[in-house]
Amino acid sequence: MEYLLTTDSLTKIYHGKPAVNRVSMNISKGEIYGLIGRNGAGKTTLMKMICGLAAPSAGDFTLFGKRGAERVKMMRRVGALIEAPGIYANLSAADNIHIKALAFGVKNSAQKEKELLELVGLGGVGKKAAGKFSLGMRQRLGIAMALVADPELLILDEPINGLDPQGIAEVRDVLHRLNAERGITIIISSHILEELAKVATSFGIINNGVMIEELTREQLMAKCSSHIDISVSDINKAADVLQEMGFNNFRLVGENTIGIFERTNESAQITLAMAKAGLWVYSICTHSEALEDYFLKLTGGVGNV
Amino acid sequence: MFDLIRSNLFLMKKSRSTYIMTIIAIATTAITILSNALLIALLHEPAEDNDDENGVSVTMTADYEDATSDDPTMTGTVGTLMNAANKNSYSAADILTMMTSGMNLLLPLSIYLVIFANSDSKNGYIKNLGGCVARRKIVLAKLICSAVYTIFAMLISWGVSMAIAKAVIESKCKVDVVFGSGEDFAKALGIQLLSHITIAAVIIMVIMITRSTAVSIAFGVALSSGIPTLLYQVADMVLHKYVDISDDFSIADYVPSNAITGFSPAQDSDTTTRMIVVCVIYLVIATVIGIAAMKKKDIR
Repeated sequence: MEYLLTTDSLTKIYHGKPAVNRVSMNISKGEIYGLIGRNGAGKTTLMKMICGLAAPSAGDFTLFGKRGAERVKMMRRVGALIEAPGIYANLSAADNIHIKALAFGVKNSAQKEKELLELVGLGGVGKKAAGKFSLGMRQRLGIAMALVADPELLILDEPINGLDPQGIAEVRDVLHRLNAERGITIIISSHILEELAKVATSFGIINNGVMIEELTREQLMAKCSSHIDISVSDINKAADVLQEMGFNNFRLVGENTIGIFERTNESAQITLAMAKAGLWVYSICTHSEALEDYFLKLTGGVGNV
Repeated sequence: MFDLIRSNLFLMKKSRSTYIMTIIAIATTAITILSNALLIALLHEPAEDNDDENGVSVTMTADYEDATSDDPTMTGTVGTLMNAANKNSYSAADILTMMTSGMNLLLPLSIYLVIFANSDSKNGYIKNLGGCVARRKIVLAKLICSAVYTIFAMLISWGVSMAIAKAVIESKCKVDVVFGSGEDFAKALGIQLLSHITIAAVIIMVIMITRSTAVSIAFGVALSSGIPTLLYQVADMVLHKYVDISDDFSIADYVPSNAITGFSPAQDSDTTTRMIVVCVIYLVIATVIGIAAMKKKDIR
């Protein structure tokens, strides 16, 4: 598997306290990697180190397989939006993009400006000064600027901050298209897990500077979706009963407990079928864990839920 | 690097502050030249009989920090004027020296350069570049564009000053204002540009170290005022008291601003060489420190 980015015990210490503490992660080409964490968890600091805006206190990382001075040359293949977009408030959206296009030696920048503004939904802003944009418009301009040099890796720090639901949906759509049509690998951070879950293909959960879990979308959904836990006297016979009922998505989750991950509204029918098959049903309950609850449980928030 | 320079020049072109500060620079230098020209006209007027009833004559003398009664090349603002008052014609070099010697161009230039050089950090635009472009190139591009602006502002201010000087001095004093010696003008322009660009580099160094617009502007304004002169005088007093050095030695001779306030078109080549060397040394050191400061700090 080709890893675009690997970090090896990446650490950043401010005033003696680690903001990022020995974070190791791997991001494959073509992924949309969601970095989730509370405010102050270390997401932005981690992204700043990857973007070259902050020097790591310890650890290292490779970008496109390169380290050190070679890695610096690879930075041109990275586009980033870190914290608030860095834009000139007195210039128009097109001029802001033009400045960056000039700095990166992008040819045909007029065509590029038009294309990018259309892509992020700012095609009609004309000569309006960027300082007069709404927060959502500024965020979109920031995303457009991150795309100026046709990056292969896009790093977006809370890009949906300040966007209305339509804006969030549009950004989600843009990211999907960038990933699907241009093959751009994306690292996106947010503390809105529900939204991130709709766009990311894998996740890293960071808390107090430490990466506490990395998982794919399927793993996350499996952990968070509602399911039925049934404890019975004979697991094998129970499995046969479930198969006869047409259940496919179930597995052993405990010594005599089966977790059923589909048709979770049929607990009554399941109990009856088990009884008819002569099985003792010790307990049956339906669990439903929201993504947010899972996240809070992991990060120790709201009394660990 | 060339791309970065183009980008910064585009930013300069699009920024309102470029035009506002250029107008202010032209206005301050124009006012300086106008007032100097009027004073020159006054000094050219025939002297009235000012003997008192006892037959004692009263004459004016210039009282300025660089005055040496037996030095024929008088410097400083008043010294330049006094020199100018004795002339039969005024050259482009004279006008340029008059225009810059009071630091009147340096003040608006300093303020503008702080606004320009710090704008990327202030509005966060630097985050678009910081990881992808070598930090030394960012600093060098700012310095080169600052130099370009300095050349532009000085030339345009000089052009306006020549026009005012010609209009006022020729009509009031019946004395010609001419371009004069190209060599003298090139020397004056070269020294003034070098000294102003050197101070620009020092200001950019302060910006890179402090990342503060307020501190940098305060520094630039202080440099353009008489404050450093007082400090140099105090330092000279201390040095002359405790160190065995020549009576002629002055710290003020070894700072770039001396090339602005202390320059005279008629100065000898040793003085010119000293001014150039001092400016080049300060320029190089300020650039190196500015780049180091930019590299060392995280971009916030």
